[in-house]
Amino acid sequence: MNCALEVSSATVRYGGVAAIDDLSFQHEDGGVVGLIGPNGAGKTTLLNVLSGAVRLTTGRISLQGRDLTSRKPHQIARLGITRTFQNLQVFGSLSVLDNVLLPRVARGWATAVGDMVLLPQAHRKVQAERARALDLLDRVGIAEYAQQPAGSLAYGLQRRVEIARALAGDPELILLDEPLAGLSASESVDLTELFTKVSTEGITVLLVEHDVASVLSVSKRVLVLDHGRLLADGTPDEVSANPEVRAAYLGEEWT
Amino acid sequence: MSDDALAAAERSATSVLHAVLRSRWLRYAIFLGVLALVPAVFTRVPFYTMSVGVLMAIQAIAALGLIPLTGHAGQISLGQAAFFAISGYTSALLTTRWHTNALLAMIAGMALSAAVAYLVGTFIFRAQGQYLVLATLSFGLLVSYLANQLPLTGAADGIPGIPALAPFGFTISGDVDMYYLVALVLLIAVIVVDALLRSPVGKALTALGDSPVATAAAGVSIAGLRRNAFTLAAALSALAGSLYAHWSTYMDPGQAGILSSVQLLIIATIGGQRLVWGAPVGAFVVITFSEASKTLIPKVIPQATGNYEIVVYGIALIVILLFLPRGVGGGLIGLAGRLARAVRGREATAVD
Repeated sequence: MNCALEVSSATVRYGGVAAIDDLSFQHEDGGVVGLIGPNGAGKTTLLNVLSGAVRLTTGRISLQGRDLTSRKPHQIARLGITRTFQNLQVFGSLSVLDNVLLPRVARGWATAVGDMVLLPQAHRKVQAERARALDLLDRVGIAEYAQQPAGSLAYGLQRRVEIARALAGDPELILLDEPLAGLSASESVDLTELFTKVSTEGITVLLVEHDVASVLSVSKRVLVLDHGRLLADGTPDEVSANPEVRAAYLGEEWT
Repeated sequence: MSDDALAAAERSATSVLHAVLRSRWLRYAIFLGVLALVPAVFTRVPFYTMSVGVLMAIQAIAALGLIPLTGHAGQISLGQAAFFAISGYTSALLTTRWHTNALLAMIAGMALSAAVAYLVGTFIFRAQGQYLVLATLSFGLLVSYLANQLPLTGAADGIPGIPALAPFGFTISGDVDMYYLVALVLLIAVIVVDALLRSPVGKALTALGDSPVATAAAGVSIAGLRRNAFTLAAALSALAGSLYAHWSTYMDPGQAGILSSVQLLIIATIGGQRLVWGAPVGAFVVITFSEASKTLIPKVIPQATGNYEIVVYGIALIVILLFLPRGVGGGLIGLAGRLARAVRGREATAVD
């Protein structure tokens, strides 16, 4: 099933400045959606709003018809939107496996406490989740580091830990905040292939990325933000042909 | 000794070290052994008496809750002594005024402390960052003020004449009996908190300390998690408070003071905040310092008052944290790990 995301008249104002200004869009057909725009366009603010970290000043957001507007981050995560962070936020002192297990086992307090007092049923559930988490690590290509502290991994590998952790939360929509920043060309190719694969499994991917070429190559729809407003919205071909988009990016790399 | 015998001894020492690092039940057994040895040692060594041993175990229980709360979740609490006092005073009042069974009074004191912590936690954990520490500090000051002023708690005089514990018909008479009781409670508390830290809840607490935003994004309520860790820490401190009340037979407002909360934080920090062993190790080191300075400082500086003790504390804390940033317990674990690796490395080169 594809997620139905609806953002209507969303505005975030810091003092007199609008980071997002009366933004509206809908998305229903799944796939990878690219979100691009010059620095300060409001991309990260939009992700923070969608994940509940920043509250809307006015406007409304819903997923599958459920209102998310004033929900807390952990509630939004449980309702189907998970995310990665631009500045890495892995749980450095936990093992890679525990990073990925956390979204699945820490939610059910009954299971967590049951496992602690060694209730067999709860313990079996944790074991099953462990097997699932290992599968997920394998898909993201970091299974061999499962037992290492996540903080000891190289930068690119930590990005994969974050992606695996976001996928572990069973999202309908996954928000990726510059997941390719600081990665080598081959790592970028690996990850963009992964995004496509994830999207074919019914998880909508909202991809914020500085590397415009990667976004255009992987997305079926591209949203262009500028000064907190929607400057363009369409297929990669439509967007890259748009003269306003080219003007907004003037002086920046546009390939 | 010949080289062969030396190498053999070294090998067996290393395998013991590995076993200790691997098996937690072996660690609990060793801890049990150390606790059992304390009475034999403390009655023969200067500074130490059995009452010092009881105090160490009680303070270790009170500081234990700070391992998950501060060491893992990253939340500093300056309200630990308040919960110690709430439970201690509850025990005192119930047993002296209404002649309640001491064990029941203890359970009531813990329940009340935990309930207060849950309520206070529900409100203060809406705040963020450094304001949280100030909120726990204000709560600690409030309880300390009430203990000093309320006629119910005997104001500055406190409550004397608290009866001793008599669990299951055994009367606890004297410090040695009491020591065995609090040491057993400490051992159980250490095993429970260690199990908690290994559980998914414990992993969530560690995650919270590493990155609150990512913990929330993983679907975990960080306010709820902080509140629960705060409540657990309060319950442990409360347990210690009631044990203290029934042991010392006297509750005074000093037990609720901010300095007592600071001392618990120092115990956890000196011992090492990340491992359950930090609480008993810290209690041993800090109380040894305070007992030794009580005895030694008047000899060195005849006109010295109690305030010199705090100066010595402060210097000791700075020196220990300078050389052992993870505390004495963390430093020992690090040393054991390094030793094990060094020996393994030497064996590897020998094979080459």
